Amino acid sequence: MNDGHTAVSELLGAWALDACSAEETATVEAHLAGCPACTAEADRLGRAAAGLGVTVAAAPPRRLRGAVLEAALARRPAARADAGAGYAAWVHRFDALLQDLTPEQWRRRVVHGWSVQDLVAHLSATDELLAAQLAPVPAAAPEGPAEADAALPARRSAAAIDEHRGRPPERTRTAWRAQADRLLRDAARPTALDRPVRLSDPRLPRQPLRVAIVQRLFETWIHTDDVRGALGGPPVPPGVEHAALIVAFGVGLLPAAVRLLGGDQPAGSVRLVLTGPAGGDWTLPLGTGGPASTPAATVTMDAVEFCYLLGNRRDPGSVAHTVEGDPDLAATLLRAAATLGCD
Amino acid sequence: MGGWDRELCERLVAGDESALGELYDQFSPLVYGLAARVTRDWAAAEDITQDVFVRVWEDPQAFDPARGTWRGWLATMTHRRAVDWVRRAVVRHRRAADAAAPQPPAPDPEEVAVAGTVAKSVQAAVDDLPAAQRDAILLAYFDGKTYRQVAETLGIPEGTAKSRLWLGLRRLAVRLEAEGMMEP
Repeated sequence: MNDGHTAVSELLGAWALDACSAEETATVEAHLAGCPACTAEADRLGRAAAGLGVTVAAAPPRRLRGAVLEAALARRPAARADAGAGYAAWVHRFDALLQDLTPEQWRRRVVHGWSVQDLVAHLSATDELLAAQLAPVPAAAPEGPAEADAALPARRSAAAIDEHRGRPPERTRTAWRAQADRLLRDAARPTALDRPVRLSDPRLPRQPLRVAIVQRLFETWIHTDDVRGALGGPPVPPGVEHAALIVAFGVGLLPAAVRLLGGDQPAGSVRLVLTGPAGGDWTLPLGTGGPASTPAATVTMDAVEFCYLLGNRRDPGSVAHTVEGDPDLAATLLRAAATLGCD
Repeated sequence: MGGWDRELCERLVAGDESALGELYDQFSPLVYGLAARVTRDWAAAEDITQDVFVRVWEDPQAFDPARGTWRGWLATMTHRRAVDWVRRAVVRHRRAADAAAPQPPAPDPEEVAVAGTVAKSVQAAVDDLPAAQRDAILLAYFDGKTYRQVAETLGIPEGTAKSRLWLGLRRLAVRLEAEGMMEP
């Protein structure tokens, strides 16, 4: 046994560099299974060897990403995303992006003339509209009943942006993250997801918390995409599972969003066909018309483009889509969709 | 061993495809670049990149966050596959008596990103190794040679090749640990 140990320990450097014969590799690995001292040394040498790999990093061709993900999902399908896990994923992802920002990058303009820091303060303010409803003792609304106050989110957002402008961006980030983590914990309580809550726009009908969490996922995703874009990076599409959640959220609220447009809206049913793996086919009764009748218009577009439209990151007039039938009805649907974002 | 490594592992186990996308975005240059450098074959580098990420997705629990980082784990997986490819390629070439086949191009230096802090530190540590140890390590790691082939190439005894690889790698580990570039 002792001799085996000596022979193996002399081989550990070569083993860590994959420079042993197949037989020697098998001998070393059999020994490691029962020798903590050699395992510690092997791990250490292995980490040093792996460090060498970093010196020759080279970006693969762009097309490889899709091929790799497709091959992986063909071998093991993704779990059906639930709202909480999806929101958690985007919180991690946005935070990972923010953690690496330089002071100059924190000041970059993103959307609406907001800096990255302003954007994070805005996201915190919108998250807080939901977090306050989940607090054990609901916070007293300082501005009276918020039920129909359409301007509330914008007002809160402006106040938060002002408040954070004098602070280091790192504090804005940690405050956002801490609140997002609390939201996730609250949402993870048993039966919590069925509880009716207000969405960001308090005029929309109350929805189960799971829908409000999808709205948080949606907003956190779109701001991740915003910031990545402001840094000059490629778009960050939401992925099939999360796009499907966002699509379901948007489609479900479209009839209410059309009602909120007010004015003289054309009435009738619209068939919405969203293409791509996150897509589907829905017939939506719009306006004051009765139950769904034969659709007067069919709107077809890409499901991920629809997600960007919901975030008001595409213009309803120019987003890529096709219409058959009543163009006014179709235009109303697209206009209403673009109001379902949070800024 | 950071929280990110652990969280990513949990998300992969849970079947969260966005975690795989994130892992790919972060580390595909490491995996692809290393595979290309060792195999000197772009198509092989693509195959290895695909194989590595598919395996991680199929069995994320093979990675143990208590024993290292995703960076280290992926580099280790990639290197072993690339070396296997090189050794199989040698056998194929010998069988075909085609030893003089032209070498596919090495990665374009313009494409090689050595900008990261870690990459710079590792490169400096490698440059500072005693030349005899450095030569042995580079032949083994980047050309996929066994220590016997390293001994043959350098005209030294096999035992000397073994100990140069061990001493050089150990020196590298000590330095990277001291610089905080590697977990002790």
